[in-house]
Amino acid sequence: MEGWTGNYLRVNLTKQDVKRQKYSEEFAKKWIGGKGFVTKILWDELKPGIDPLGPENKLVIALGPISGVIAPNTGKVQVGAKSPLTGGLGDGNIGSRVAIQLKKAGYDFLIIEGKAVKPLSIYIIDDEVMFFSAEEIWGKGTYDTLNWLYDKYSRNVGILTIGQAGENKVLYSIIRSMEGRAGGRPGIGAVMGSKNLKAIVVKGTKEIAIANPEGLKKIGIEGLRKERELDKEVGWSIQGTTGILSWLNEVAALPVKNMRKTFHENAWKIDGQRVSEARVATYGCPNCSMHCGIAILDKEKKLAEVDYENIGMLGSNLEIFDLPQVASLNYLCDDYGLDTISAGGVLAFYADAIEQGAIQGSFKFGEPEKAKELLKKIAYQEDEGKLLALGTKRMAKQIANKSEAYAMQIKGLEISAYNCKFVPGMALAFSTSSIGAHHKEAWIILYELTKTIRESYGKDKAEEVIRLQRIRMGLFETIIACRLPWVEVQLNKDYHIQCFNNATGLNYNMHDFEKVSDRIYSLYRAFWVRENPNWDRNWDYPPEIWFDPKNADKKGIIIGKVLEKEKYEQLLDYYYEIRKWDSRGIPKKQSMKELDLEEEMIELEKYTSLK
Amino acid sequence: MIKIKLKIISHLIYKTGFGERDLELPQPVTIEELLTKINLENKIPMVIIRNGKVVDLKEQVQDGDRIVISPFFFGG
Ligand code: SF4
Repeated sequence: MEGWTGNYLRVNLTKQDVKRQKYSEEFAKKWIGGKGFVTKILWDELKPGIDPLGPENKLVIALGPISGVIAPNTGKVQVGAKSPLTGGLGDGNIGSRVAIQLKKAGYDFLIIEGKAVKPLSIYIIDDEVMFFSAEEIWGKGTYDTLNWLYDKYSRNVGILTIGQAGENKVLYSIIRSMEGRAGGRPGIGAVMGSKNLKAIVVKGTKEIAIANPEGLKKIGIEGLRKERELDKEVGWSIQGTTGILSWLNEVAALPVKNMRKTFHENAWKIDGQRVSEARVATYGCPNCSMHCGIAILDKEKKLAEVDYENIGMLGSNLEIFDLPQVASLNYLCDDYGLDTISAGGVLAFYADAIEQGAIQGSFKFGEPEKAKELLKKIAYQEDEGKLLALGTKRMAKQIANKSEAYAMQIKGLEISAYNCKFVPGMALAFSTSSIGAHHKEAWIILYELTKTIRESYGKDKAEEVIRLQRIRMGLFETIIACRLPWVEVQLNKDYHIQCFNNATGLNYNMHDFEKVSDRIYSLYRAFWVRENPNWDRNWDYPPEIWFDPKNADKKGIIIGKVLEKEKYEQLLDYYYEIRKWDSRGIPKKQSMKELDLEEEMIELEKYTSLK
Repeated sequence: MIKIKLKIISHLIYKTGFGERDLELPQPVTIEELLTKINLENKIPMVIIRNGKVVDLKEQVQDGDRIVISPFFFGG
């Protein structure tokens, strides 16, 4: 095999035992890597109904066939496990040197099983795997942990680590890899914490076997140069992702006040221009020539990386329009190892529930200092932090008093920073995202505003969501490369496909990746269904409040508008029809066969009848 | 003479040199003509919002309009 190493490590923490194993070429071609590997491995190896925070859960860290090579944006890894937040399958994509180091150490993925008796770190250097006590760093935040590990192993090693939130099993804790880089929204950090695993450190020194090294070098370097040129021409990375905030404010799709409002007159105070003016450093992933992480000084004068999602969720959604304070909240989330999107969603929901009288408490919108105290309580699971550590879905169940309607989550995952009160296609994108409400697989707001009409629920919107899911997930999260150059500066995705072909010696085109994508999407859905045999289409609905006319804007450009239930039903039906899923949202037998998922179909039939 | 409010978003401000401005024009112009006046005639794909609605380049700018000009966004 070329591109892939064909090897993986199975690490059992209970026994402190390591097995070096091989996998087949057929597996590689069928699942490609990254999200494909995560999905198939966890489907095969996890028994339904296991406790996500128990030793039976497994953590998979997967690379793709172009990980680590000199080509655009190949410095990312996929992490996945059964999610403690959603109960379904969960994964995330993180910029990390692990992508390079693990590949050079000779592996395409790690499967981490069991639970260490005491806090532990793993150090992988080529063929050697060592276990170390992590008691010295257990209890430290991710900043101190990273520095401690840098001192011990050097800055060039690959690191994945957790903060106090992961250690204390906060359900939306993430994994941190380096400055400004973190991922694994559905509580993958908590899975690591539940295993008493503080850090994974990787160093590799081997050559990566490539089918056509000259071809890859040429296209890889050309891609990196093109990406830099395009970014320069467009000017995207000056503001990075934060540039979009003002636009969302203008088109009434900004999350404000637990997404009750869609715009705010003070949004300019935390917009991309203010961020770029405050920039003191830039962070980015390895092998990228358009670094997008902007670091600014927070209220406490610490260096904090900000991006659109965390400013939207920890800023406007909490009605905090003070940029250094928003940066402080972001710094704390990063340090504790909390997902910024979910943390913002949880705090906003808590403030909202208090305002509605559903629960007693003193936290209000627009209170950054109190928000900081709450983040600490969440990370340490203290006082009301225990409730908030559960995420909005479980909080709403406990709070009751009709709060479920404004718990802004889908499938248990907090909705990221796009307010879809009146953006039907994007509401569909959130509702059908494989992990719960995340934008990483499809984002269609621009399409809805410019290519069609906003109030339309036409089939084209379902088609567009699926087209993007196939590219953003099916291509970029399997070969593993960052989607942003394609998304933001329009780098032709053929660069990445050609890198894949040169690395592996195959001759795939986008059509091949579409099939892989559909296969992964269907198996991902099958995982959720196997966990929830009474699965129905209600899992694919956004929160009730987006349909509630009482929640419509009273001023601005979408006065009186909200989503329409019946029309949304139709849009969802279109989506299922294109995916060849039944009206419950479960893949049909015929489609599973077409996607070479016969074995998986037989397994799924044990839990539910298939059409 | 017509008066309009103009808002430029994201990295386009580095081309126009301003983010927000009140503008006086001797007579009504199309969006296309307006773009030339503010140094945005090049080929970067843009979204134009006139009083809250997405419009095309041929749209006529009227007295009292609020025009927002942004690059295309494809969402993080
Ligand atoms: S564009 Fe940003 S997220 Fe993507 S690889 Fe570059 S630095 Fe990482």
